[in-house]
This record gives sequence, structure tokens and C-alpha cells, in this order.
Amino acid sequence: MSSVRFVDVRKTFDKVVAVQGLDLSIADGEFVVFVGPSGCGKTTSLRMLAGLEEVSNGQIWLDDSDITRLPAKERDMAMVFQNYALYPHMSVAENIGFALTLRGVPRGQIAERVRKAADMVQIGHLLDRRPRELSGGQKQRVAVCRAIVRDPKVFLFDEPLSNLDPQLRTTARGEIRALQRRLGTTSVYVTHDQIEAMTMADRIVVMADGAVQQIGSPVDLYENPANTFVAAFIGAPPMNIAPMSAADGALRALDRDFGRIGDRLANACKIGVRPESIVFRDDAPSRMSVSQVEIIGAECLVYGEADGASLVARVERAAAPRIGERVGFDWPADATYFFDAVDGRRLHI
Amino acid sequence: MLVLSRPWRIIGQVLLFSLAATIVAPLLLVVFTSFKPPNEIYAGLPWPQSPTFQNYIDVFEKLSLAIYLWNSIATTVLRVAGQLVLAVLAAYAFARFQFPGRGLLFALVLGAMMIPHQLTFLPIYLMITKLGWFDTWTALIVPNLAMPLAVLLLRQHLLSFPRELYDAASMDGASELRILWSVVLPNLKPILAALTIVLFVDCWNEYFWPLVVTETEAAMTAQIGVRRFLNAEQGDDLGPLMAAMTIVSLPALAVFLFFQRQIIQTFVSVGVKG
Repeated sequence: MSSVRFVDVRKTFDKVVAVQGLDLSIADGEFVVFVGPSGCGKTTSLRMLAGLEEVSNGQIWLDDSDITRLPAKERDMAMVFQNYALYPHMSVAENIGFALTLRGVPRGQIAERVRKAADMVQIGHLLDRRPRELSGGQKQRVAVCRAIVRDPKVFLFDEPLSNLDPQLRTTARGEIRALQRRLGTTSVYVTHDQIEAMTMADRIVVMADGAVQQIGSPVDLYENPANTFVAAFIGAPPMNIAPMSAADGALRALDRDFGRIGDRLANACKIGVRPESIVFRDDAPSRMSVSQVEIIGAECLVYGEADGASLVARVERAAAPRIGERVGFDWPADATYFFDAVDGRRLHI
Repeated sequence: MLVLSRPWRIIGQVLLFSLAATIVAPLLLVVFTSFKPPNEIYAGLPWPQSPTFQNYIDVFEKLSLAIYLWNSIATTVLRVAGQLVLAVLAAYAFARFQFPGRGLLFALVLGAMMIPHQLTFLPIYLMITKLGWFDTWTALIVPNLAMPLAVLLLRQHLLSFPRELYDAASMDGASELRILWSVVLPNLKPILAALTIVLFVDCWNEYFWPLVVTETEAAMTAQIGVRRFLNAEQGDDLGPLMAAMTIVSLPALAVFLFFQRQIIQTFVSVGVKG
């Protein structure tokens, strides 16, 4: 039973602010994913929680203990690294059992626990091999096994699937999630892949430039993005963001009139439309010049330009227009998102 | 890969063969002479016509070579072990930890490499005599324990050691010393083997310092001991001298052969992979 709490946690490297004021509570057994582009502070946050990076300011709590200054080895957390970090001179069994050896667990018990954990991730047949004799997927399983064998309070994952091919990645993320559910261990997972975040997380923490942009469930982030960054980051393809223009006291975007929107007339706004909300209809007022059509299976991604903005629509293959066509398109009024053009904040109008 | 034309290849091989010959020929001459009876020492032929082991018997009868060899082996092993321990600890600290004055301290270590022994031997000699270490193993070992070159090489090697392995070991619950012992050192085997050879040969062949600080069989090394066959008045006893030199060369050769596989691995190593 372990909960984690970040209280106004900051990290600076010389004058560079890597993480600014992270406040987050992670419940026992929860699977939280930090997601964001490179340099957003997600890995630094994870490393601070692990004890591998000093906290410049703020506190980190594990249950009722302040672990802010506690060394990594005393935090009882296990981590899976991006490149797996398996000890090259040890066999798979020795890699998995190393932490238990350090804790003085009797040799017989180590062998038993290693075998049990290895069977759980289906690498029982690899125990005598060296890391250099393993494939990427096998190494990843060994790294996960090394983490679970200790029965730690918290699992930490630092982009553990980024070195795998896409097919293996899909399988592996399902396996990791299933394993975590079975063990019920609190987990913090870092990735730059929003699909990984969406498919695995109980809650997602979206970060950019060292700051938390939004925290919420995958559905919440998808349906109610707090700003243009989250709107564009969550969803594949990302949300279309188009500028609005003001004319005769009314706002207009993508060839569509929105009338007066509160007192926002003076301020420029942006609108957002999910690609999957768009439908092609000849009688629609908005027109799109199709520049590219990508078939992704049963659906197509249709790229084009409308009212000076780049646009992408995700439609069924049969409904896709041809390249070069100029077609009408529409979307439900309640599927329109409004954002402040200056700070990107979501406007609830 | 560079492929040489046949003429250039032949020229290259001849050059390399000549170079190898200049190194091997004197060694062979020493070994051959060590098997020559006294009347053949100055004979024209480089190899013995009536080979004999008498020179080797003389070496052990006329000289306390066994004691000198023991002094050499013991002090060399202790000195090299001490040098490696100190160098590994210093290099690990320089590569792994951030601490005030790290750059300055490392610059001082590098600076120590630039100071010739001839400059420092006198103050060290005076210190040794005041400490009562003259003509002891301690005099041969302690003043040479710090080896800046080894610190530099190991530090550079450790800087390229994957950070994730340190982190993984920390997460597994290892202390810094345990990380060094269980994770880092096993992966430093090739460079440690190479360093062992360099340090061993350097120490084994050392002549000047043992000559200065040893006087009797208590600490005199083999390299100094074999000088006893050199005699300006009655003439050099070349047969036993060559036999002694051959024997004295063997430990260094054995160390080289033992560690050479690791050396080759160092040169073909592509780094540590997790």
C-alpha cells in the first residue's frame, strides 16, 4: 500500500528550470503516466521520485514519510530504464536477483523468487543467458522482471518501450499494464508517446517546459483539454487548431461564423476541432482543398487546407475525397473547442 | 578497409619484419649466450655450440638470486596492487562525484605526470631515510603508489561507463562501494589488465629507485642484484649475467602472456552494453 505525493517540487540545473512547482498525489495502486515532448521535465520528475536526482525545492512523500532527501537505495522503488540497464557481466538470473542479494536474502529464496518472477514474464528459459545474448524484447522483459522480483512499493518506468519495434511495443504495453493490475503496485510511467499514455494510464500528467499542463484521466484529457498544448498533444492525429478572425462584431473560423462569443470580441481566439469530428458534406459552408489522403486501414486521414489553416480529418475510407478536390466539410457545434490565442488556455463559452 | 597493392604490402612486411628483428635479436642473443660455456662467450657464432646449464647453476650458487627475485616479485605485486586500488578509487571519484575543487584536484593529478622523477627523488629519498624505511620493501612500494597515468586512463574509461548502470545499481540498493565492486570493476577487466601489464613492467624494470634506496639482500631487487656479475677489475661474468637476465625477464613475460588476451579485448572493445 503506497501513495506518492509531490508537493511544489522544483528542479533547476544551474539557471535552467527543469521542473517548476510539481504538485501531484498518486493513489495506492494507481498507474500514472507522465507524458510530454523531450525536455519537458517528465524524466527529471521521475528521477527525483527515484532519488537519482536531487530536489531543488519542495517535498516528495511516500505514504507518510518525507523521502525528499532519502537516497535511492532506501526508497524501496524499482525502476525500468529506457535502455534496460542490465548488468552486462551477470546472467539474467543474477541480474534479476542482484537486489535480493544486496538485501541479504538467502540464496535458496533468491533462486525461488527469481524463478517465480521470470515465469510471470515468460523468461524462465533465459535465466542462464547474458544480456548480450538477448533480443530487445527479451531485455525489456528481464528489466521488468528485475523490478517485480523485489516487490517494491512503487514501480518507475522510464520510456521502457521506446527501443522496441511498434508491434512489440503494442504487446509489451498491454503486458506491463496487465502485470501492474495483477500486482496492484503503484506505478509511475514516463513516455513521450501519447498513445502509450492513453492506453496505459489511470491518469495522465501532461508536461511542457517543466510545467504541468493538465492532469486527468485519458478520456478527460481527450474530451476536455485545458489548453492548445494538451489539445494538440493528446489524440492521433492531434486536434486541428485554427485562428479566428473578427469581422463586423462576429467571429469567424474555417469559413464558419460563430457570432458574438461573450466579451471575447476584442481578443483573438482560436478554435479546435478533432479530426474525427469532421464529416465531408457537399452543402456544408466550410470548404477544404484536399492535398493528401493516407489510408490507415478502415479509415483515412485527409489532409488539406481550409480558410488559410492546415486541417486533417479522420473519416471512413468510403467517405474520403480525392486528392485535389475541394470539398465541403462540417462538424458538430458541440465538438468545437475555443482557446485563447495568446496563452492557449481553453475558453469555456 | 585499406587494401595495399602487392608491392606496398611487401615493402610493409619487410619493414615490419626488420623492426621486429631489431627487438627480438638482442633478446635471442641474451638467451643464446646464457647457454654458452665460458670459452664460447666471445666466439663468432651467436648460438651455443656446446649448450650448457652451468651458467644457470652458477647464478643460484654465486648469487642470492632467489632472494632478489622474491624481493622483486613481492614488491612489484604489492606496488601494482596498491597502484590499481588507489587509481580505481581516485578515478571513480573523479568520474562519478561532483565536489568542490574537483577540476583543480584533477589538474594537480595530471600535473604530477609532468614532473620528472629526477626532480623528486632527492626529497623523497631524504624522507624515506628519516622515516627509517631505507633498504626496506616499504621504500620500494610506498613512494610509488600514486600513479597519475592510471588515474587518467581509468577516469576517461569510467566517464563513458553507462550512467544507467550506476542508477540501476542504486535502485537495487547498492552502496557506492558495492556499485564499484559489483558493477563497475567487472566491466573494467580489459583496461585493468592492460594497466596491470604497463604498471608491472614499469615497476619490474625499474632500476634507478631500487639502486638508490636498497643496499642489502633485505630489499635489493633482481634488477640490481644481477649487477654483481659486472666486475670492472676482473671482467664481466657474462654467461651467468645473461642467465640471470633471462630468468629475471621471465616474470614480466609471464604477466604479459597472462593478460594479453584482455589487452586485445581492450583494443577491440566497443564499450559496455546493457
